[in-house]
Formats: sequence, structure tokens, C-alpha cells
Amino acid sequence: MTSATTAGRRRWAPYLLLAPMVVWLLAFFLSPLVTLVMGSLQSGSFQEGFVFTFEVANYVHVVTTYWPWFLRSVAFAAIATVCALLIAYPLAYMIVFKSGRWKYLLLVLVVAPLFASFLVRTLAWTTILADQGVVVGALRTVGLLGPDQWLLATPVSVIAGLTYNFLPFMALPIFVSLDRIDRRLIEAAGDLYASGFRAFRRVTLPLSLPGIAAGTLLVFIPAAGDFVNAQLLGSVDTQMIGNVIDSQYLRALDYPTASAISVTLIVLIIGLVALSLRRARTDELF
Amino acid sequence: MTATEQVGVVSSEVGAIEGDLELRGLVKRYSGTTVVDSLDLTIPSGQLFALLGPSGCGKTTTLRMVAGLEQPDEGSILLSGNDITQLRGFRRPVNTVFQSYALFPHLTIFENVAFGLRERRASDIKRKVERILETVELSALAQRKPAQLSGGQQQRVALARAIVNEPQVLLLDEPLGALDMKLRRQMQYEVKQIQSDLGLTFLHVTHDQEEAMTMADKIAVMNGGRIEQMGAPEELYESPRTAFVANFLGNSNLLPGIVLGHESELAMIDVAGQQVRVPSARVHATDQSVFVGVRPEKIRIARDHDVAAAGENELAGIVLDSSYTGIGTEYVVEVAGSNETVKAFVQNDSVRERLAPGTSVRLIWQLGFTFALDGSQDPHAGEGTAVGADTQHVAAVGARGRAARRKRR
Amino acid sequence: MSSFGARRQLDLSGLGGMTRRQVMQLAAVAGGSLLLAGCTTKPTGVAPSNGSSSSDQIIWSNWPLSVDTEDDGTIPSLVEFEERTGIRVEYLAEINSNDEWFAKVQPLMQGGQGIPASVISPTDWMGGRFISLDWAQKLDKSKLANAKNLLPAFQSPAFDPTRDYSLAWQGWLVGIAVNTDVTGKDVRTVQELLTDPALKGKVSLLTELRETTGTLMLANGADPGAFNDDDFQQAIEDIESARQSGQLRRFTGNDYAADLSQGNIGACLAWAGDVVQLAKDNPAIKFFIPDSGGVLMEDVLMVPTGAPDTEAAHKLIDFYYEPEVAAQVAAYVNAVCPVAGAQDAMASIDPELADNPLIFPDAEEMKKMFTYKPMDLDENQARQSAFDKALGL
Repeated sequence: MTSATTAGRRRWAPYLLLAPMVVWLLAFFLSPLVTLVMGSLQSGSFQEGFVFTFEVANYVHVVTTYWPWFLRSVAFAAIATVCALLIAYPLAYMIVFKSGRWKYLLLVLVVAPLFASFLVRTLAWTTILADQGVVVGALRTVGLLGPDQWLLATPVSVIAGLTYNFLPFMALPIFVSLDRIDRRLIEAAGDLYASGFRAFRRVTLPLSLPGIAAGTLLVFIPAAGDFVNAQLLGSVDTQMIGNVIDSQYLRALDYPTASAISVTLIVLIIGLVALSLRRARTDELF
Repeated sequence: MTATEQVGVVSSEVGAIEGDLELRGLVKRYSGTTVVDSLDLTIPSGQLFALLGPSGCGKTTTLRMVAGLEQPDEGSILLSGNDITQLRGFRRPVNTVFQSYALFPHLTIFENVAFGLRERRASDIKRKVERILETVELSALAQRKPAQLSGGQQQRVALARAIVNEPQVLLLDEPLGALDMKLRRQMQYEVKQIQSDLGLTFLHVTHDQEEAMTMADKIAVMNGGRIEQMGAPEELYESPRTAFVANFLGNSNLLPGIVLGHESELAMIDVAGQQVRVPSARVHATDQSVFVGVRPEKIRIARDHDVAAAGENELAGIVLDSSYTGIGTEYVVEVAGSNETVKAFVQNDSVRERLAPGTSVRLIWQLGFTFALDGSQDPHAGEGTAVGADTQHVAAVGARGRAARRKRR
Repeated sequence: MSSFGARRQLDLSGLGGMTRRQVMQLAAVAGGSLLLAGCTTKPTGVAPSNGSSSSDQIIWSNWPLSVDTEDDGTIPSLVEFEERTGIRVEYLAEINSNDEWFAKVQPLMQGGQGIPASVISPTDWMGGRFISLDWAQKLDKSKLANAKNLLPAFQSPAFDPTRDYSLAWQGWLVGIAVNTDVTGKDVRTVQELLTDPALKGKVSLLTELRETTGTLMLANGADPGAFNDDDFQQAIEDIESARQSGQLRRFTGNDYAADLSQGNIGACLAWAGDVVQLAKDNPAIKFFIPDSGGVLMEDVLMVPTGAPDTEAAHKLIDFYYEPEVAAQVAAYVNAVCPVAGAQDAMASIDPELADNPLIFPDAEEMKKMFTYKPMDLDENQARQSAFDKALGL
């Protein structure tokens, strides 16, 4: 074999190795995405058929008509993310540091709800937040809810559903990053005069930031596009952008509008994520 | 709560640190095993004190109890006369240099070193940190992160981070273990320098007997949760009181013998039918049955016709094996009339032929280098557990010799 | 000394003389050309070709639990069908909503491949859409001897007046479901439902366009089978005022069942069949056809174009028009049964159900039931959009 052919083969090798992944990405990621974008620039109707006319007006229509839904979805998702963080962090912390030999069992329990169908999980909240239920009863006793007020079919129940459904996705990354922390670092902090809380604040918390960042993304991004929780736990005033896409696509059969809303949502989420990542600068942590 | 109250007794100036560290009757048990067995120890201030022993002897546990990372089951710890046993770890004026360094990966070197100072809200942090970084010669790397430093540099950061807090006692948990030979020797010297320059009390835990002997002012040899012997390195090396100490520090020959009697401050001991004299003060045994000890490098090998002087002991023997180690030659000599072997280490300081196996020789050494230990203990205790290849090598040579002898017979 | 080793750069230059940029461009063009194929879409593309292979297995696309089902999941009527004809039927419970199911099958039908099911049972208006798109086969009436058992009331629905393409499967009546424990009384009128202050915040309507607007139009005196823009607009405005007054809590699919049982909802629009089930467990739950009339929808039996086995499909449809079989199904599903003679057959299965007017309505009862007019795709889109706006979308 001449040196020329081996050199030639070496040039092809990286491409061949990349090929399967590229094909997969093209087929399952890039091509649906491009189809979506192309679809969003079509016009027509289901009856007459849709034709590609580079209809940018679709986007104008979408933004001017549906910006309240975009705003609401981002707000709900953001609140749900914060709630998930506030619940998942102490939970993960307990499991990692305080649970001894029950650690992995408890971890499985945190993930276990995901094995039930999301329908069952979400509908369970109609029982938890029922008008005659414990939660509403307690809130009424304390005076936070009037006798004519309820929790279901309000933003509270939708956000509660979102938080609950995505909690494991916040807990798991935080668990992983907390678990990875070398315990000796915490010992060292104590050796250097940091009390338990101070050691947490100056060592544990900063070292778990990558987990928090990952969890935030894993919760916020799908929550912003969610429609199930609003559908089952919401009301007319709590519909999210996901519900709008659902109705435009399935019921009104207005594919261009549905596609345009989808693309706008993707761009919006990417924009928000990029902005927050830039601010957090997590890549500089280590 | 002021910084002072928070941390217990703290002095404010380097060099004026006072107070001994006293361990009284410390006991620690883990699931049934007693890891530290009623330990009594006083570490005088301003010294570099080494706690030396093989893995599992309890030395690290003892260190962690002083640091406050473990709670003793019994006993107490006193610092400058104050009982700190019940004091939480982060309140003790004690700092540790960990074996793994435990540098905070998310902080710069500066912030790592400043950590303790910040927690105590000390004054003038910048100056103190810069000064200590200069001492360990890492000023240029102050803004880097630990991951960007080499092992040796990280070790110095760990040292600086502990020292900058001017603790009453600095605990070092085998801090040089992860370094290569050359760097380790260098760091041994540097650590010792820093300790004596600053006059701080160091408690240095290690399993490396060479390291302990090089650095320490005083050594306590630990075995099985107890202290076998404590004293200055020379004292431990030249006058061990147990077989463990004799074998753990360097190498030793231990020959079984019977005490025949004493006369003029010498003990007469029968070793394989030959007589050996041991200064009575160096007999650390009460019974008749003893082990006579002399270290290999103390022995000179003489040919048959050489004669021992009055102040020397002499044993006749036959060379079994020899090996050349550059610096010297190790001989394994079988004591005449017995199965016992003696290792002798002879420096190659003159041009001389190597003695061939089978040669009759005389082993001669000065009386004052002999010691006798209680005959009921295991003569091999402490062997092979010390860092230092010599022990293993000689043991292998001895085994070869014995095998060769068996073949001959 | 840096502990991060230098990473070897992947040398992507010089592939067959092309630069990296050119390779990427090539990939983009190749990928892009694949997609342009699917760029223009028309609903009536190539119609799938009909199959008539006599296989011994067919698929029946239907709603979940819309057929007699044992606790262990076996379907006795299909077992019997297989014993008789040797044809095994796979009951594919894939229709959870007409719109969702349409979105799933539409690309296959449009692309000309057809769907794997030989019999489909969507709701009448979706069946009508299939017919208008030429996606439904004309039934061979000579092979449907039992079709004569179709009750007169079902014989000429607006979406398929000559029953050339379909037979009725189950009738779904929409009315008012009440949890009397919550309301303390019966609720028989839509007016009450939407305006009675005692029910404030305890009312829900259905997310389905026809069921909800149909019922509300009836309450205003309009005929859902022949309404105009004003009638429809009025219904939308009624929904709006109910929402603004706080009367209306939310819109539901059939998840009203949970809310109703727990008392979160006191009264709502619901499907009769569901409520009959609920009432068995909780006698406080009742169903009323509104005084102004209720909307009647039907699920159909149709054979899509491109069906793998049209012969077997006809046999299946014919089978379910035997009165005994129809009664067996009705005993489980509890929907309006469109097969004559089934009521008599029911007497020997479950006499109580034989007398149930929600399953076997007599002529008087039928007078209270109205069907919704069929709408073409454009009108459907307009009405649906207006309705969805009222839903908050």
C-alpha cells in the first residue's frame, strides 16, 4: 500500500466515523425542523392546499395575535422552574448527604412517577387540589382562600402540575452534581473554620451550580411548550402557547400558522436560554 | 460572636503560638474493631512531630480526631491546656493539610488560601495571603485554578492555605504521598524549613519511615492503635525497644538468644553457641529469652584471620549470598552452628573483592550498637511494611539463601 | 503546567479536494432537496388503491372501550366473529379524539398509501370529511344483509344521506350531567347551567365544537342542523358571558368525569354513555337531556379507501348489525343503539338496560335529539377558530 492511499484513507476516516450521527441528525432533527420552517412560510387552506409563498406575514400575524400566550407560557414555565428548584434542591441534598444506604432507593422513588403515564400523573392533581380536598380545606381555614374560591382551573393548578411533572428533571441533575462533590472538600471547608451552613454556601452550592443550570434548562424548555397541564388543570384564562399550537394544527387545520407559532416558540426559548447562559457563565466555573 | 470566640483560643502573631497538644486515653472503635487503643501522647509546641506507622495502625484516625473530623469514643484532647474534645471541628484553632490536598476547584489559588481567613473575618487578608504565597513561591499563580497546577504546586497551596491561618497545631495527613521521589524529598526539606522558620507545631502523619526520620524532631511509632515507642529519630533508630520498631525503622537483624548473666554493665548472651555482649542499659527485656539486635550497616565483615577488638562483638559465619547495590554490598551470612542468618551491609568504599558464597567470615561490630529485645515477640513484626525497598530485598535474599542451603544439605 | 492536554483538531480539510466549507454546503443542499419534496401539500393527492386480498386478519380503528370488553381485555363479540368467519380482528383503540386521529392518518391517506385499518369508526362529521376527500369507499349493500336493521331515525343523516358510505356504530347523546350532592337539585336547562348563580364556578362545557355550540344553539331556539352565522355567534357570546360572570370554570374533554365525581364541578355538558357509567358508582350523579333538546352524534362504521381487506370489512359491519350482537355491545358501551331488535335482545342480557331511554330512546325521546349540520373544510375552520377563541386559544 502506497503512502498516498493510506493518506487518502486517513482523510476519509473522520467523515465515515461522523456519518451515522450526521445521518441521524439530518433525518430526525434537521429535516423536521426545516420542514417546519418551510411550512410556516406557506399560505392557503386545507381545502385548497398549502403552497410555499414565503409568507412572512404569518409571523407578523402570530406575534401580534399571540404574544399574550407566549408571555404567559414563559411566565408559567419560569415560575414552575423556580418552584421545582426550591423543592428539588433540598430533596436532592437530603438524598445525597443524609440518606445513607437508602440513597439509590430514594432516587428511584423520585424518578418513579415518570413511569406512570403523564395523564394519570396530571389528573392526580384534580384530587389533590379538589375543592373538598385537604389542600383547599387547609388554605380556607387559614384564610388564604375564600369559601367561593378554588385552586383548580387557575394558574396555581397549572403551575403546580408543571412543577410536579418536571420535578424529576430538576432533581436528577442536581443529584448528580451534588453526588460528585468530593466530601473531603466539605471536610476541608470545616477545617478552615466554615460552619455547616457556611461550608454549604461557599463550597457545596457553587459546585452544584452546573447541576442547577442543567436542571433549569431541562425544566424550563419543555414546560414553556407544554399543553397537557393547561388542558387538564387549566381554564380559559390559563391556556398556554402549546394549547394554541395544538388547536391551530389539529382543529383549525391551519398548518402554516401552527408552524409559525412553533418556530417562534423555538426561537424565543433559544433566545432566553442563550441570554441566561451568557449571564451565568457556567463554563467559567471550573 | 466574634472571630475569637468562634474559633476557640487563637493567638494573633506568628511565632507566639503557645501550648502543647495533649492526647489522653483516646479510644476509637469502628464496628467492633478498636482502631485507636487508649492513646496517650503529648506533642510539645514548636516541634515537627511525626506519627509513624503502617496502614491501618490508627494514625490517620488519631489525626482526624484532633482535627475534629471524628469523635473519640473515650478520652480527651487538650490544646494549650484547653479541652477541645467537645468543640466542633470548625471551631478548633487547628488546620489540616489533606492527603488529597482538597483544594476548592472553583476558587482561584488566592481564594483557596484566603478561605480560612475570610471565614474568620480576619483583617488584612490580601497582605497575609500574598506573603504566604511568596513563602511557598506561588505568587505568580495566584489567579489560576487548582486544576491548572502541577501536583507539587497544589501541595504547596494546600500547605499555604493551612499555615496562613496560624493554627496552634498544623496537622499533615501524609501530604507528600502523591508526589514523585525527587519532589517528595524536596518538599520534605521545604516543609521542615517552613515549620522551623515559623516555629509552628506540626503533627505529621506518615507511613514512610525515611520521611519521618528526615523531618521530625520527635517520632511516635504506632502499631495496632497503640504507640510502640516515642522519641527522637536517633533514639528510636539506635535503641528500639520492640521488634516492630526495630524492623519498621530501617532494617535490623534479630537473633534469638539466651541471657547467661550480667557482669560489669554488660549482659552476656548466648547466640547459637557463640557469645554476644550487650550493654545492660540497652537490654529491653526482663526474661532470659531475648532477641539480640544489630543493624546491618553496623557490621563489618572480616576474614578468618581478622580479630575483634575488646569493644566489639564477633560472630562466626559462612557467606550465603551477596548482592551489589552500588553504594554497598549486602551479604547474607549464616551464623555458624545455626539456621539463623545475619544481613550485613558493607559500603563499597575500597576496592575489594566480593566475598563468594561459602567463604568463612567473621561478623564484627561495636558493642554499643547492640540491643536486646524481649524474646517472646514476633521477630518479623514491622518487616515489609515500611517504605524502603531494602527490607523486602534482603528478605528475598535471605529466602534464596535458605533455599540454597537446603539444596546443599 | 497545564493539565488540559492539547486536543487534536479533527482535520476536515481536503476531502477529495474540497474544503470544509464546500462539504457543508453540499450536505446542506442534499438535505434541503430532500425536504423540498414535502413542501407543497394538497389534501386530495393520490387516492389509495383498494385492496381485496382475503387475509384472515383485519384491523378495526376505533375509540377505546367502544365495544364489549371483559375485565381481562378480551372482546367477546370479536371472539365470536372469529369463530364464525375465521377472521381475526385487531381492535385498535387509537382514536382518542377525531382531530388527533385525523392528523395521524391524513399524511398516509394523502400520500396514497392508505391506512392499515380496514374498518374505521370516527364520529359522523369526521366520516363526512373522509367522504368529501374521497377517502371512504362506497359500501357494497349486497354484502350487508343486516343493514336493514338500521333504525329509521338513523337512516338518512345529513353527512351521508343515502348511507352509501357508512352505517351507524354508536350514538352519543350530549346533555347535562349533574352531581346532585353539589348542586342540591336537578339541572335541566342550559339557561340554568349558564346563568344560575347557585352554580357559579361549578360549571364546565365540552371542548368539542359541535357538542357545545349545538346544545347552546338549541337553547336559543336554533336548529343545529341548519343554523346561520347569527345563531352561531349568539352561542359564542353566551359562552363568553358565562365565562366573564365566573359561571364557567373550564372546558373539558371526557375528563369531566373526575371533576364531577369529586364535586369540583356541579353540572356540565357530558356524553350520556359516560354518565350512565358514573351513575352506577355514584347515584348522586344524574343525566338530563336539556329541555331545549340535546345534540346527537354518532360514531360510524366505514371502510377507508385503500383498506387491506374490503371483504372482511363488510363481514364485520354486517356482523354487528345482528340484534343480539348489537345488544351485547350496547350492554357494555351504554350508548344509543342504532340497531332494531337489539332492545328485545337486551331483555335477556340486562332487562334494566333494555328500558333505559338513553340506550333505546323511543319516538318521544328521539324528538329531543338533534344532529349537527355537516360543514365543509372552510366553514369548519371558520367555526372552529371562533369557538377556540372562546376557549381562550
